[in-house]
Amino acid sequence: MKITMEKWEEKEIEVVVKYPELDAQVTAIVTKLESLNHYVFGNDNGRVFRIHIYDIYYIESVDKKTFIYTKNQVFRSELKLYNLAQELEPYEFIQVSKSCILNLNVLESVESLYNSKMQATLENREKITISRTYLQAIKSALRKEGK
Amino acid sequence: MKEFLKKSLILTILILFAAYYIPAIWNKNVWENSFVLQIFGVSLLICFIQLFLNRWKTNWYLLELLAEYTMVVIVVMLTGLLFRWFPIKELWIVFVYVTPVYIVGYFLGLARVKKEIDEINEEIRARKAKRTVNQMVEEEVK
Repeated sequence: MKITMEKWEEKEIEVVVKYPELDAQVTAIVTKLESLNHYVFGNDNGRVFRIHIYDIYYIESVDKKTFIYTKNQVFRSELKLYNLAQELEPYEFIQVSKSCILNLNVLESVESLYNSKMQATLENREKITISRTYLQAIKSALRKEGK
Repeated sequence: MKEFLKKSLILTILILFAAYYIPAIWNKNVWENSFVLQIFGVSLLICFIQLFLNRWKTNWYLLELLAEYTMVVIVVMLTGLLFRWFPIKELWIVFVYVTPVYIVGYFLGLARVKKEIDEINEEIRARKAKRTVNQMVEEEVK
């Protein structure tokens, strides 16, 4: 893959992807580029924040309310968990339990607990419970993204 | 090894079906030889109920296990009585049928989960290694 960088006078960055064939690699590049420009909105104490999707660690639904967790902040979202799951699915986010979607990039390790439940440790050492039902999907997503 | 065992198991099931049902169809007495089908039906029913039971989550794992075990016992008891696998006076035999199969199934399930977790952790390590290499290359380019 050849990368050419060029300085130009416009205010906005423009990326042109030239390809001989629209294959998985090209699609992955475009998805990555699109994700750099992707934000979701969350509010904290009445103030609305624009959160970059790569800053999100996980999103959880508690008592029908949706919360967005970043490295050390929590925001409330007006969107439903399944809407966010759909929106973020192309950007390495995956459902890990009925009430939680996780950014695969911050996943540090997975371990089994004594009571047959599973726990994921994130980069900020936070631990979240994951459901056995989603193990296969997590493995497939990691394999897919790793290629 | 896993593939080999899987293929052998599928072949065994096919042979069992063929051995039971080809002569049964030939002799027109399928219902007299329906034991394999009965077992298949019970397995399907248990798996179907498990689908719903697995959605029920509590903080008491032992309670979940007990509920699942009770469900299996009740299903085997009812279907066993229906298909006359044992007389009504000897219901204790259900526990003899169910307990060993349940214990083996439970430990097989645990082993499968452990294997999947190991594979996931391996994938995570590989991703991190790849990311580190990419970062090193980026820094060198800079």
